[in-house]
Amino acid sequence: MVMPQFGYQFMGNIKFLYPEIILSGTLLVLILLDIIFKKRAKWLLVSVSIIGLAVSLYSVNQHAYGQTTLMFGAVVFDRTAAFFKTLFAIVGILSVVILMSSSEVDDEHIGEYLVLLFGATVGMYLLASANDLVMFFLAFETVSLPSYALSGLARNSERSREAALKYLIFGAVSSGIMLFGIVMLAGMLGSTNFEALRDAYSRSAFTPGSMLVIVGLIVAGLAFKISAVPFHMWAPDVYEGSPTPVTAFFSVAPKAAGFAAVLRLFYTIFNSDQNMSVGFINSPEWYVLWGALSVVTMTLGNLAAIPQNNIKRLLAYSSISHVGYMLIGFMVTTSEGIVSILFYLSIYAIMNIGAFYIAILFRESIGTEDINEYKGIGWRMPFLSVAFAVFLLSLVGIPPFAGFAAKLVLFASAIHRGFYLIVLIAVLNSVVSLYYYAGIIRKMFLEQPDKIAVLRKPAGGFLPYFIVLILLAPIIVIGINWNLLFKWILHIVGAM
Amino acid sequence: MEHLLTWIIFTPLIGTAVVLFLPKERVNLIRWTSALFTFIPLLLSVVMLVRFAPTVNGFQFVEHYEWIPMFNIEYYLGADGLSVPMIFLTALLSFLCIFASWGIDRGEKAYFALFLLLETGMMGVFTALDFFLFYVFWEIVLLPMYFLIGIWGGPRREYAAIKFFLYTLFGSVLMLIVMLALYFNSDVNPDPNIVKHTFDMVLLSDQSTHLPWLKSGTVRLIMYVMLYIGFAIKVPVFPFHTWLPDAHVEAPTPISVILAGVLLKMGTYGILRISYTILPDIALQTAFWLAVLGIINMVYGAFVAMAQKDFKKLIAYSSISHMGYVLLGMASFTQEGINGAVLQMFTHGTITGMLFLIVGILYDRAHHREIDGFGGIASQMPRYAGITSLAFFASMGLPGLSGFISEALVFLGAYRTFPVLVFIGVITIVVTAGYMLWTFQKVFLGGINEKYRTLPDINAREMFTLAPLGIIVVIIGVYPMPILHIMDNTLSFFVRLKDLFPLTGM
Repeated sequence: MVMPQFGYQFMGNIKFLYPEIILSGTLLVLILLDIIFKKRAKWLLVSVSIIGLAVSLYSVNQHAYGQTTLMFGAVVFDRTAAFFKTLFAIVGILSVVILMSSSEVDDEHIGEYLVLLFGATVGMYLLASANDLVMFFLAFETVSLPSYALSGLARNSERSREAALKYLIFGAVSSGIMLFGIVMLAGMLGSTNFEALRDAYSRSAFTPGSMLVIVGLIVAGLAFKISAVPFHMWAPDVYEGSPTPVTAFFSVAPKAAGFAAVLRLFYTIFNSDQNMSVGFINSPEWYVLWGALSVVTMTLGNLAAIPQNNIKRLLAYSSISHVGYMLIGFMVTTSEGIVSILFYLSIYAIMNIGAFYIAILFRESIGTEDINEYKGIGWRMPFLSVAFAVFLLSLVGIPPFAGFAAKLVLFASAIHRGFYLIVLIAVLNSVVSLYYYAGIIRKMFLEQPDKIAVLRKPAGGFLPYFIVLILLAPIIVIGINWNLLFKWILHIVGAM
Repeated sequence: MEHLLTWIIFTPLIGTAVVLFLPKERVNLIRWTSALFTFIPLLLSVVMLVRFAPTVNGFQFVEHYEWIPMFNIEYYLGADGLSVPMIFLTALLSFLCIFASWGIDRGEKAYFALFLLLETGMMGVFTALDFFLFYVFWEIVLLPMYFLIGIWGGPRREYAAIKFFLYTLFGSVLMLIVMLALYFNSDVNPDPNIVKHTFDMVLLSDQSTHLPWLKSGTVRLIMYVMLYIGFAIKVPVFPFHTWLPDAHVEAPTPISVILAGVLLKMGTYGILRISYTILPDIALQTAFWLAVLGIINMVYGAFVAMAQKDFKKLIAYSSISHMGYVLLGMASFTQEGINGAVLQMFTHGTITGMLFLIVGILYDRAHHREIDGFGGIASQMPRYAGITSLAFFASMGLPGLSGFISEALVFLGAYRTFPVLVFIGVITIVVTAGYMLWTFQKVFLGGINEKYRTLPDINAREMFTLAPLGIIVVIIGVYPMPILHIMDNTLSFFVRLKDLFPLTGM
């Protein structure tokens, strides 16, 4: 009598877990193939990975629109989870695709790269679905551990080894701090399940002020993952040291996972009346926490990006500043704020991967990541340079590119709540950011090359151009009319 | 003709696409294609001028479609007596500047593609009636301008280009905040229970659509000032003018023409179209300060121009000075003053366009612009000297030429509101005459500098770029009624604001 019930509670509708199962299965297949073909099956591995991610993407959107919990409520499958999983799968596919154009990860180690990428992606899937503190922490670590290994993947490079060590040490410490917060939360409210925590919290007499300590500890761990200031120190070094395709993945996916985690954890527990109008997430403490984090992150990210000469370091700081903008959405709290974060994340993912992809292609062509060597490249590789300019201007937020829509929607949500000051700071930050993004454009188009360096055409014939075009299209189409994407995201949040 | 304004805006954009597909070796083909794609909007703007009914109230050639319904953003275009002269001016200067761009000798394909994109942006600014659409076009103008100055400009082009870009972006992000604030504090749904926000400038200018928060005087003042900074940077009004001399000196000749002829007008156009209509009470309260800033621009610009040694920088500062007239006229809130201001926007576009073309012609031949480095050019280039004197006299405001009409109207209108300021302002006339005549004397009169004994006189292509502007300057100078007739009815709206929002306590 008990067993079927237990079985149903635990695995009831297993179809909801298909995406994770598919990913884990593909991971195992990848390990096997890598061993069987003795590390000489680059194209096979790449194709299997893309197929695996694509099938899981399909399966996510097959079933997930609902509100189902599995494993005694440890994981939940709702539309928010589906959104993030879709985003992770797309980012994963793009990361695998751009890998093919880079020579930084040699063919011998491509299997390891893909296996680690899949490991991190499974973790992110579970993090987006986590509904229990234990699950939450396990998923969080499942994202982190492969990430440490990924950053050290270029074993012969001292830079890469240093990056991996830095990442590991910083990561371990921040995970520890977060775990401390999680334990305190569970101890104070007497449960690990998010819904139970919510009920306990709404019945408890804890003031926002007392919760702030716990939330602060957990946020410290999450801020590390999304590289928000002051937990960002690892990011530029890791971004610079890791192989560029890995950096592209890092700059988007774990950040998105971090945002998913904040939404899952805090917006479930502290959202006592489902409308986000009372409770901790509508207290001044909450605004101040996220507002301060946001302002510091965007300002420091932008200012630190200005003197950078290495394109990966520059994009690292730029991605820090973008996290700063997105944090405004948490400060805003309303469903508009959430929508704007999801909207921003989707657009940011595409434009940032696009920028990194072109940095990879340039590295392949001129053999360096130094922006000073981009001089005059605009006249020699016009298509790629123009595409780069579009991605960069989109990152600034100049219409008619999608980055503008992202910023507009985000700032609009803040203005709607009456948060004018932070929007003012954010738009002034955008002006500052123009300076360093335009610095790259200036090198590419406005300056003449010192010497005519040998240009190697990117490998793969038309494929790189095709990929750039695919990344470029949404930036322009969404920039001109973002109705569809916005509607879709609105639909997702409607079920939250 | 259906969708007249859409065609005017987007024909150059089609041109951009076409130019990008032309082989880059076929330079002449690229030039003539660009000429064609700027000629069509010129033709269409003439059609618009002919079909425009000046006595009809409200907007004409209206196009109104949904664009992004989630935010109630609309594709909303229209033209009235304020925008029609600007559209024509933009079309004319763009077309002529294609011919002034014959001298561009590298990256022609990219140059003309960007130039056409620039025209699309400018046309959009002057026709958009949705604030969001306006903002998008406003920003689109920045991109090609940055590249056009930065790639084809003079020695300090990179500095000038980024300065221009940063300055203007700074202004427009402030505008963005005001735009969003207006949006969220407007309600165009008559049902009190349903709130429907809007970016529609025409609806926003109806004060009853503003929600209570937007009715507070302090809020409105802050918003007005933020909008003002956005527009003032473009005009540019003292003390936001420092980007202009750099940008002008470094930009290639045709881009200087567009910059001075059209882009500066976007600033004053924005103040009239947006600040004045949406926040009229604040506009009236602060009119005195706008007039003061106008006077500072006039006098300061003129004195600084007098001190210049570089011919092009002199013209750049004279632009600052002449844009001061526009501000003074606008601030007066009298029929003469505002008519004069808008007419000054048009005439300054044509006159300063001529002046920059003239400097460009001389620079192409002598490869420097030092005013003291010439002398006696008139005997060598008589036709050039002739057309230059026309432009110089028009710029000084000599009766019979268009500059006189607009400046006289401005003073006439402003005298009724700010008599003291006008007395200070008239200094400008003397100083302007001073630096213009001095420059003319140093460059054209006296003994000829032996170095320039062999300078060829102005050629047919150059004459073609100057003559239409010269003719317009003379026609408006002699008989300004047609253009005033176009503007009159629309601009009377601004004068009526004075009765609708009487000043209290001032």
